Amino acid sequence: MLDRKFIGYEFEPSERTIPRWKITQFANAIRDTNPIYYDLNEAKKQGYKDIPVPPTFFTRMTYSGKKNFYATLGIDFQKLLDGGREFKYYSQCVAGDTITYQTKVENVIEKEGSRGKMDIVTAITRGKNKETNEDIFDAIITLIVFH
Amino acid sequence: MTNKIINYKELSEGMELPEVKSDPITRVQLVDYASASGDYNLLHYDESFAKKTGLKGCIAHGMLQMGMMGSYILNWAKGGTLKNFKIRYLAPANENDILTFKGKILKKFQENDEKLIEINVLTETQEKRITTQGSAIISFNT
Repeated sequence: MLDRKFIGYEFEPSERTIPRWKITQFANAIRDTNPIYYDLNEAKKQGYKDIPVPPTFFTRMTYSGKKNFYATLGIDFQKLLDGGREFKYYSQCVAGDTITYQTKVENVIEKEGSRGKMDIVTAITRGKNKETNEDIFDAIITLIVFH
Repeated sequence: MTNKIINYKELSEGMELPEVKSDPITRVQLVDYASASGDYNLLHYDESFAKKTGLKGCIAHGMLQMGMMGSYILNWAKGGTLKNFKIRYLAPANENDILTFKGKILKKFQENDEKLIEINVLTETQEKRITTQGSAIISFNT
């Protein structure tokens, strides 16, 4: 059973400046051929200031800080199931943006199912544009950890 | 890439999105995604490791599926802005699986002067195994 002291726990914030090539690499990996991810002129033609990020690009910013999320909470990978992911989008993010983001453990709740007792852990990472201080995204991760 | 901009007026609850089939998920793609995402879990590109854990072979990252689903949604919702996107995983997608993406408009509504729809989406393998289920909220200015 996970320690409830982690409810509200905040990891150190992190910062990333997003390079164009990383966006292109990501778009290629998901086999999205939309030229806005590969060609600056195409992105601008579609009204973007620079190459925009695909919607799940923020998966790279799911965990902030230097400490490993799972090790910190004492989560055993053998007992872990991914309970789902969610993104909320506030403002557009493009190549060249510097994003500051921070992960917080939102809640740890115990539930009982057919496979026995488990903890449902939700963590939220909020990403902001460093220069404008605008909110960019929330990345919400739900983990199921069996006792 | 030749879909036209969505006309919000023409959308209705219950409307189905056109289905899209992916190419087979190759080992190369799993390696590409490991590198692009930073998720180097061996399950996704080391076949003997995957088999030792009881799997038939390498499996796709859950987030790779979410990534492909995001592309499916945005390629259809031309002119729309994604506000919310969530997914849950029901079964793994195996290396070489072909994924079919399906979607349906669940709700059409307005909030704070925004024209919105909520859609349900899922991915299904060539063996009709549903691997993910998700939903998204999209805003339209049209």
